[in-house]
Amino acid sequence: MNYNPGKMGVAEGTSLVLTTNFVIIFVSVWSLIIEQAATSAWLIPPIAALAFAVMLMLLLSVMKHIPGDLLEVTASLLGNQAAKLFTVYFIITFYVYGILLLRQFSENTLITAIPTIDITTICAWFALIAVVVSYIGIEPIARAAYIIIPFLIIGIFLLLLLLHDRFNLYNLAPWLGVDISVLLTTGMKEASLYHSFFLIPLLAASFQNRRTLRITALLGIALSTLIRTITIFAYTGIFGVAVGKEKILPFFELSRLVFISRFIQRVETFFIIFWAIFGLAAIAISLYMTAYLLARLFNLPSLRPLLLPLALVAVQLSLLPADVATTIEYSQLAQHFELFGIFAIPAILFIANLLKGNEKSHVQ
Amino acid sequence: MADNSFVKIVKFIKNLLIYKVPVTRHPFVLEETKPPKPASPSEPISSLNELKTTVRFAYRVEKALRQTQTILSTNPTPDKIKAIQKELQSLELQIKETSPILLSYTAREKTADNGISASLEENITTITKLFELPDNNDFIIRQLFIPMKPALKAALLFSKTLVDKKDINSTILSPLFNAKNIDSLTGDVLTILTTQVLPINQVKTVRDFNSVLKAVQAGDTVLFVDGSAGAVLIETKGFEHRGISIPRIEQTIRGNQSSFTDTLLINISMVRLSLRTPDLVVDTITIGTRSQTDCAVLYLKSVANPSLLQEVKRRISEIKTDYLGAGMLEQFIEDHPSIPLPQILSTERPDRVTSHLAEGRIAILVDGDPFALIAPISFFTLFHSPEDFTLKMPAGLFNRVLRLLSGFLSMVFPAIYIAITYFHLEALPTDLVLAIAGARERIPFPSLIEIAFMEISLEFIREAGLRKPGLLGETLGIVGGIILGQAVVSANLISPITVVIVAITAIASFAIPDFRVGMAIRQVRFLFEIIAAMLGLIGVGSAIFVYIVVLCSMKSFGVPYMSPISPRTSSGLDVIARGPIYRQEKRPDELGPLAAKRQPSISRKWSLKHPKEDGTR
Repeated sequence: MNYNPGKMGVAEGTSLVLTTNFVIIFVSVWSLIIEQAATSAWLIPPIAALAFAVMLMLLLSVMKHIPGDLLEVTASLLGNQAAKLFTVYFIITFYVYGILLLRQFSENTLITAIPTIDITTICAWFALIAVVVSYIGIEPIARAAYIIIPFLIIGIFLLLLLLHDRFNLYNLAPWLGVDISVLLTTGMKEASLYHSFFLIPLLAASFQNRRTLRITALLGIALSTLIRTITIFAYTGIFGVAVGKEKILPFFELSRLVFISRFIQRVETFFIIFWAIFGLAAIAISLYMTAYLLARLFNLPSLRPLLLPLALVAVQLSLLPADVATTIEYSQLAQHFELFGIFAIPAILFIANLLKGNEKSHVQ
Repeated sequence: MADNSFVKIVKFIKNLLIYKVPVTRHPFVLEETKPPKPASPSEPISSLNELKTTVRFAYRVEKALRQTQTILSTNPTPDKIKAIQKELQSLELQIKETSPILLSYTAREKTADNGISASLEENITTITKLFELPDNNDFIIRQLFIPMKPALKAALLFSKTLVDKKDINSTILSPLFNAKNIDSLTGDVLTILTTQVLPINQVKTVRDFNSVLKAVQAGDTVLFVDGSAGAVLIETKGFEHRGISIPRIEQTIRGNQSSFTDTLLINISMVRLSLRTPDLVVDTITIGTRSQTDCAVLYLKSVANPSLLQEVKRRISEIKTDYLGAGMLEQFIEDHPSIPLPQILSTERPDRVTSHLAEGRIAILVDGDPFALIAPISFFTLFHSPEDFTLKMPAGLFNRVLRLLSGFLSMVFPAIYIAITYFHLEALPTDLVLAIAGARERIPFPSLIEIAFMEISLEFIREAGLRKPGLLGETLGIVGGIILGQAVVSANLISPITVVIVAITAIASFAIPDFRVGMAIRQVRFLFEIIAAMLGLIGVGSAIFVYIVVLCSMKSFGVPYMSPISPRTSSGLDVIARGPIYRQEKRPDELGPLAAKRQPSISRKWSLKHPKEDGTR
C-alpha cells in the first residue's frame, strides 16, 4: 500500500491532534459546556483530559509491547474480525465528525462572513479544499498546521489580553456552579472531545517510534487542555453563565467585543482567516482518516480515489440537518458514540493483553 | 489473436472507469549520515598503508638492483654509471623515511603535515590523497622526464583553473625539456633547476606539503623531482583579475563585488580562491549529446552529505538531451518542475556559493552560464541576501523580516483588499470606509477588474522594461508607471486607493531577493484575487492553507522545502531570524552534513582574555 506517510515526529503529531481537537473552540462547544457546568465549566477540560489520558496511556502501554498500529495490535490480540469491527467504528467516528464540522463551519461562514452565499456552495467549497489537501497527504497537512498553530495561539491570547477590562471574576463564583458529582460526570462525558487523539495510535506506523507516540499524546493533551481551560475561563468571566450559554459562536462573539479605539475595533473579521484554515484542516484530516481506514479495511492499494466520492457524500449528508441547532444536537449524539471508543477500546485491548500475557507465562 | 472492436471498446471503458494505482517513483529523501571516524595508529588501515609504503620501497630497490646488474654486466658508459649513482643516492634518502617510527606516522594518514618524500611515487600518492584525486579534476599532475645527466623523473602539480597555461608551457616545461647538458650529480637538483634551468622571477624550495597546498591553491605550480626531498614552488598565477564584473542582479552595498562570468574555468577559479582548501572538490560531468556542455559539481568533501552528492551527480549524469544551454539545467534536475517556486538557488555571486558550500550544500556550475546553482535549499533561503551578513545583526534581522513580510504582502494584499471591499467592509474603521467609498464613487468597474487592470499593466511595464534595458527601459517605467497611473485616475477609470494597493504590492514583490520567487508569487496572486472576489476572507484563508500545504509537501533534493521550521530541525539562527555570526556554531541540520560544527561555541576567543595577555603569534 502506498498511502502510509513518512516518519512523523512530535511536532507533526502534536499539530495533527491539536488541529482536529482544537478546532471546536470555533463552534458552539464552550456554550454547551457552560450550560452543563455553569461557572465550573473551565474545570471540565482538565477532568475530561485526565480521564482520556488514562485510557490513552493504557492503550499505548499495550502498543509498547506489540508492533504495528492500533488495528494491527487489535488483530494480534483479538483477531482480524475484531480489528475490522474497530476499523468500521473509527471510520464512522471520523466521518461523522468531519460531516458535522463541515456543516457547522459552513453555517459559521453564513453567519459571520458571507451571509449572501448559498450553504451548498460553501459546503462544496470546504469539501473541495479538503479533498485537495488530503490528496497531497497527511504529513504536509500536519506540517502546515505546525506553521499556523503558533499564530493562532498568539492571536487568541492577544484577544484575551485586549478583553481583560471586561473580565469579571464574580462570573466565576463557585456557588453559582454545579456540585462535584455533576462536574465529574460532565467531565467524563466531555472526554469524547478528545476522540480525535485516536489518530495517533491509528497512524502509529507513520510515527518515528513508540516514544514519539507517547510524547505526542501527552503534549497534545496538555496543550489542548491548557488552551481550552484558559479560553473557557476567560469566556465565562467575560460573558457570565446566563449570556455565555446562549451564544452559538462563542469565539466570534468574544472577538466582537474588542474596542481599543475607533481604529482598532471589529477584529473578528481577521479571525475569519484563522478559523477557515483550522476548519479546513480538521475536515481534511477527518476525510483523510476515513479514506485511510476504508483503504485498510478493504485492503485497497491507494486511498486517493476514495477522497472525492467521500467528500461528495459528506456534502450531501452535512446538508441533511435542518439548521445549525439540529447539527449541534447531532454532535451531542455523536459524543455518546465516541465515548464508547474512548473507554471501551483501550480497556478491551488492555485486558486482552493481560490475558494473553498470562497465557504466555503459563505456556512458558 | 488481435482484439476485435467489441473487446477494444470494453477495454477502453474499463480503463476509463477502473482506477489504476499510479506507479509511484520513490522520492529521494536525504538521510542523516554519520561522519567517518579518523583513523588511529592501531587500526588496520594504518598498518596497510605502512605495508604499502614498504612494499613500494622494496620494489624500487629491486628495480634499481636489476638495472645496476644489467648495466654492470655490459660495458657501462659514464652516463649510465651516473644514472645508477643518482638512483642509489635517491634510495639512500628514501631509506631514512622508512624507519619504523617515521613510517608509522606518515603512513597513518596522508596529511599536509607530512614532509615531502625523496620518492616521487610516495609524493604522488600523498598528493592524490590530499587533493582528492581523481574526483577533483581541477588539479593536474603532469609527469615528465627531465633529460639531465642522468635523466630524472619529475612531476608538476597545478590547478588548471588558477594558472596561466602559457607560463607553464613556456617557462617551465620548455626549459625542463631543454636541460640536456646539465649534470644532475654536481649538487642539489632543486638548486640546479632553480638557478640554471627555470627562467622565472619567483621560485622557492620547500620541504613540507603545507606549503605545497597553499601554493597550489594560490595558483602556483609545484615541481617534484625524484630523489629530492623537497619541491619547487613556481609563480604561475593566471586567474582572472580584471575581466570580472560587479553583480548586476544581486547587488549589495557591502561585501564582495564580483560576479561569475560565462567561462566555467574562471568561475571555478573564483570559488577556489575564496575556499583555499583541497577539500573543495570539482567534479566535471559533460551533458548534451550535441552541445557537450561541461558541468562542474563543487562540494566540500569533508562536509557535504555523500548521499546528497550521489543524488546530485545521478540526476545530472542521467540527463538525456541534445542541447543544454545556460539556465536550463535547473529544470532538468529539480524535484517539482511543475511548481513555479524555485527549488534550487541561482546566484551570480561567488561569495554566496562559497558560504553555501561551507554549510554543506552542493554547487553546480555550467559552462556558458554566469549563474551557479546551489542545492538543496529551503523556502527561507530564497529570502536571504548576501547583505544579511555584511551588515550587523539588528540590520540583517530587520531586512530579513521585511523581505518575508514583503513576500506575504505581495501575495495576499490585493486579495485581502478585494475580500474586504466585497464582503467585509465592517473590518475597516468607518473613516477609512468612507474614504474608500468616496474614492470609488465615480469608478465604473468593480475592485477585481480595477486591480486586475492595474496589475496586468504593471506586468506589461515590467516585461517591456526588461526587454528594453538601459535608458529606454527607464523611460518605459516613467511613462508606464507615473503618466499612465496619473491618467487612469484622472479619467476615473481606476480609483487612487487601487493605485496605492497595486503600487505597494509591486514594490513588495520586487523586495524579494530572488526574481523567480517574485514571479511565482505574482502568478499565484491572480488566483488569490479571483478566489477573494468569490468567497471573501474565507477564500483567502482557504488559498493560504492550500499554498502552505503545497509548500510543506515539497522537497529540494530530499530536504523538506519548509525546513527547518516544518519539519523542525535545529536551525542555528539563520532562517527567519539572523543571529550574530559568532553564535552560529552549527551547520544546517537538515542537510545532514558530515561535520556538524563549523566553529567552536566561543569563537571570539579574544573576548575571554585580558587585553594585555599576549595572544598574538
